[in-house]
Amino acid sequence: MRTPLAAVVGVAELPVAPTTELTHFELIAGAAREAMLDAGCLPGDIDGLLVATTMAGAQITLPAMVAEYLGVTPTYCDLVDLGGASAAGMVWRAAAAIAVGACTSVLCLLGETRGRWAPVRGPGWRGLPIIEFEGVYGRAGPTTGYALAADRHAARYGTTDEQRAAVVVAQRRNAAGNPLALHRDPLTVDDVLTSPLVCTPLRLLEIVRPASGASAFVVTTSDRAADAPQSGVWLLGFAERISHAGIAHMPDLLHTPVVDTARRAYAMAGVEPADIDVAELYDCYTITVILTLEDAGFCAKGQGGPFVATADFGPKGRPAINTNGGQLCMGQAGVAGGATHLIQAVRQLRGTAGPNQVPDCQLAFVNGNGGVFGEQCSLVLGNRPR
Amino acid sequence: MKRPLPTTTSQPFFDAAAAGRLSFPRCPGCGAWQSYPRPYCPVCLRDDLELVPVAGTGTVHAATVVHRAIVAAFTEQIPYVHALVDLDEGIRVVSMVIDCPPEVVRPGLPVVAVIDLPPDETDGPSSPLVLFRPRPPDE
Repeated sequence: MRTPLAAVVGVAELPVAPTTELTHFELIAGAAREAMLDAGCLPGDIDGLLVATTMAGAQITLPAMVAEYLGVTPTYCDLVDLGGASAAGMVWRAAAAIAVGACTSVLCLLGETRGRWAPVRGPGWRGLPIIEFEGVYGRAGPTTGYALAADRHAARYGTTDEQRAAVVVAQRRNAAGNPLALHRDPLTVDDVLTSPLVCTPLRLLEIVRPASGASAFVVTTSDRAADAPQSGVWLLGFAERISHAGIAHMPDLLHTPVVDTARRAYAMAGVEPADIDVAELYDCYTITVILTLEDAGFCAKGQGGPFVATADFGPKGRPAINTNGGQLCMGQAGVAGGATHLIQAVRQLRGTAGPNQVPDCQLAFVNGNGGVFGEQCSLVLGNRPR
Repeated sequence: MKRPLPTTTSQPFFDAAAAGRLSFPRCPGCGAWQSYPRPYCPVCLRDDLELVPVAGTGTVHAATVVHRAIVAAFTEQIPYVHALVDLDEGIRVVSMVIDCPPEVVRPGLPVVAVIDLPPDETDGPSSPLVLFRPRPPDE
């Protein structure tokens, strides 16, 4: 295996709530403080800053306003706008900035506020092809796109409603001990199948619940990670691909760009799917988990349905899957929803994942997914530099 | 219901559709079709894409019946069918399939385009919707 690229040394995830009185800045500052405490650093040690957009898009010069609010004066600062792939995308961007000498410790922030301070989407959303050629035909946010993929998967491979439901049932089992999650009561397949239809074949309990929250993490050099109070988590491989925005432009509804990103991330890390101890996979909908498991090589193409119906998602699974319940149980705090997979992988590799700790957890695969499968970022993380 | 806002680049596409000649951009150099108007061909960079009439026939690739008013503009149409349609020329578009019970719209269903004009359109820019309805397989 090659030299690690950088390490994640501090993480923080606020409890997810349906609504909040806090602003976006108040939320991300709360997470930033906890992540810096976890990393054993102060604002004066932070010289890189990556900020994610919110669901309404970002204000101009957002990173500078956030830097001022947090009391940091970075030498590298940027906005990351990859939807649910933003958190994973931040990890390698931070590593790349460190590798070229632009900075040494990068604070990465993602958050969303709902309620009285919810951001408002502006008129700039007119004149976009995705609006004029898909939105006018009843596109219902991303849900219709994922429903079309689920429909095609069912038609081509015979994937059943019961199999898709098994994803959320298994993840609820993993969420039972997660105090940060919005949903941790047990569920049955019947509960999922009797929840209201939203966009056929997808039902309400197969879809993430929009919420408020924030997440933060610190990426730093191998040298600094050795001095951090918590054991570091090392970036061993990554790959990203942006293939489309509108579902009409997805090259193939049955193969996501994870086919490409997982293969390249594994190759960079010098590992194979069978080596992975825990897979924390973006899960905006049940069908997303099924397609990602297939495309990342954890089961054969078309076998995602039967696989999730029998797989152990818990700590004894090979791999264990979405061990904190994922977003389907946490709730989706905007783009911070995509950070829960990264942060849970860090907990697992540190050995601090509580009742769902995977024994001797050495290698994690994290997948971030944005849009309707169009933005993918895969990471391989390890518990030692190798 | 919503309607498209034609732009400088897309206006000829909508004008042709409104006049009953459903057409899609095609590169005269490399022959690549585009599913919507762009300033140039993303394959070979030629900037003189032609609007070429299509038959208007195709098949459903995938479909979903929308049961909830996720977007307020479509509340009155619920339940409606949102679908990916593959035109016979090899162009994939997003549309709605109308004039049939929603549950009959399955992958492989033969469909034909229906141009839906704004009822009150007079001299303004055209903003037709390109919808589809089922057709007999040999139509």
